[in-house]
Amino acid sequence: MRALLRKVMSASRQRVRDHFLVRYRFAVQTESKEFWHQLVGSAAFNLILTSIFALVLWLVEIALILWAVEPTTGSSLLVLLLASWLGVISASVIFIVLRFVGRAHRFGRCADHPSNMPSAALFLGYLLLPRKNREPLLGDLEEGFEPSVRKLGRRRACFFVYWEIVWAAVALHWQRLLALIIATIRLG
Amino acid sequence: MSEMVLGPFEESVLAAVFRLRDEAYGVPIMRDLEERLKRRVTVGALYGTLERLESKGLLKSRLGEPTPQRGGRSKKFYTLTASGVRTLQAAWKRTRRRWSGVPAQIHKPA
Repeated sequence: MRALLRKVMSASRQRVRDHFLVRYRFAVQTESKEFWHQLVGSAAFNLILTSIFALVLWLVEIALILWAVEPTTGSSLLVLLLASWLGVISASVIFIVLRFVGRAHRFGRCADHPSNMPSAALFLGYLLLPRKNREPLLGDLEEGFEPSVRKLGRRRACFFVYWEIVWAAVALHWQRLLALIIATIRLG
Repeated sequence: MSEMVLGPFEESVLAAVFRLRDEAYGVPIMRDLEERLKRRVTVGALYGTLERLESKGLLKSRLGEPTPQRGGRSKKFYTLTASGVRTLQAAWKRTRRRWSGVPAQIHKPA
């Protein structure tokens, strides 16, 4: 199990290195101004959104602790608050990194041919799909995206793109997934 | 040599590749299948099947040039191998044998 996890982690690292960092450097070189504007805008938006979320979560937690039946000590309250803040901060960092890498990919890859598909979907595709079929599969989705937007509207077309990518990842990796499930059941 | 038996979807994909000839890549194959099977075909199911057929030696693939409408990504064209053509012929004969003797009235609505 540990070897399998290590293999999966190593493959993921390799993919990220190959397909995003190279494109990120290319993006910075070619589309630097627009890229940084988009990036800063997206990061600021995410920070504001996650801060509001954190504030709401914090208020809810305070209310829960105040109304709780069991008495709580000051230290446990502090631990709870710290844990919730850490959770929110790490979630926001992951979200920003995802958008950052997605945008890097989009700008780096398509400096001449802008992509209309959601950048997060492209990122997901690059992360989940096997290398052999990744480019043609994402190209097919890209080709079918515009007609799909005209037919269904942007929101539904985006939903279908996410659905297709996740389903394709399952269909193309089902043997590995099955092996992972069997290994987990055996360990359990 | 023993005859390779394929599933109905695999047969349909093989037939679509044969029909489309030089234009057999993901999107046209998917459109052809959707038109003929009258159901939605997902990209994942199609590529899974194409990969399986390629590993069986019935198809071979090559990468085309990147195009702007695909966001600068290349197409993957598929062609039938000699073994693929033989398998498709065998599938056609099998289907004909299976349906032989069934009267033409089967096509008319009851």
